[in-house]
Amino acid sequence: MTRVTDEPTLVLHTRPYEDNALMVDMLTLNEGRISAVRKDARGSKQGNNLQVFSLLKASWFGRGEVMTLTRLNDVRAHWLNGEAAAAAYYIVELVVRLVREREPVPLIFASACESIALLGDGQPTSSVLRPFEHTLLTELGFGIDFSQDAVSGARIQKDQWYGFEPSIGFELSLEEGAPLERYAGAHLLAIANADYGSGRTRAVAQRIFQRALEPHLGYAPLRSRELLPPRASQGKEMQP
Amino acid sequence: MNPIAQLITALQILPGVGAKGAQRMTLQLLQRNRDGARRLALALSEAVDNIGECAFCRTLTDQAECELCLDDRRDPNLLCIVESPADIWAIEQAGGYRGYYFVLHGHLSPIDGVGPEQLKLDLLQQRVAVLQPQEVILATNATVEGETTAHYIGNLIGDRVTNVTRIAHGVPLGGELEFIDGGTIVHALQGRRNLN
Repeated sequence: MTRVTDEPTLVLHTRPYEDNALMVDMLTLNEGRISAVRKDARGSKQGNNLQVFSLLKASWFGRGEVMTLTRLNDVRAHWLNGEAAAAAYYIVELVVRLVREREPVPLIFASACESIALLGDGQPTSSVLRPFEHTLLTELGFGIDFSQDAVSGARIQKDQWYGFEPSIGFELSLEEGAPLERYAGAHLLAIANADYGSGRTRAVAQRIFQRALEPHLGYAPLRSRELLPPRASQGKEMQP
Repeated sequence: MNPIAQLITALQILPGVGAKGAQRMTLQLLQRNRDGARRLALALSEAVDNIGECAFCRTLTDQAECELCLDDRRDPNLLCIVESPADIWAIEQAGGYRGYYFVLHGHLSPIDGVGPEQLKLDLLQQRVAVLQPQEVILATNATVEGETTAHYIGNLIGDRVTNVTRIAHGVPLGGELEFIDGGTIVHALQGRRNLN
């Protein structure tokens, strides 16, 4: 029998379960992703606290795959809308699809919580999502070295262009012509230093992380992209 | 599988009904109330065969157009958007609203694979274009998913409708602030209205 008390928790998803209960998918600091049931949740004060994106301290017990939630403390809800909601759903969708159950990922937990809090404070989505994607890839073991040429071992030079292959890394690209999938060394070094100040760096990071995540996400498209407000999604460079 | 076991299994599709409950229901229907059982079987069979969605508001109906949409005494300037037919019943029982409805049959939920297409928001846009209401009331649930859905629809139809409003949420009637959770109080303060 497992019994956990006041574990820092991020609510990823809830769905109605049986008569009056909620099935909750959550990411926790020390226990990883957990599925749990909260009985008598719908229409109750405790149930109202179990909103997606809420940060709280959860207690549960149980054995097997699904735990039973008991106490919920220190609830901090995030009521996000528009682009911020789409970005937060993107974070949740990546976690649900890429983080295995019961595998502790404390740095991903911390980054997801911080990112959602920043979105709640009105920070631009692109400057919140890129650091999260970077942490997620690194912690899942798919880290990208933005400071080194993966083939020659040389340091990335800011005035050179580089090609990117997700399974290998960056390689110096000497070809002239359309740099469709080549990236300037200056942007790669900025990403290596977590300096997302320039819009162009954020766009390069978005493309590289998207390509790095693709092989792990499989063919099913990310549904959170559909949530971008209809007006905002047209001609936008900075989609989640 | 014998017919009794089949019935016990079939009854367990109902929410909150497990094996024991299904057994009790089976005995009740077969031992004590066979007429009621026949009526139940007939009603279920007819409902499943004949009930579909209203072509205009998507609520459940056995006609192409539901009674509410056919009722020309209702106010065509008001369109209320809800998540489920049960919400229409709740609003109608409460009284006080005389406009038309549109049922989404859910809310936006990327993790469940529910996007704008699954909620048939193209049908909603058509409904708005035909009805041309003065006001669209977004009465989705006061959950994060309900809020996201309301804002998405607000953006989608905002250009075409003069007033897109969201139902108020906050302190319930008869409620005392001391016993209300923090999230509700924050919403109640954000949604306060002028009294003078």
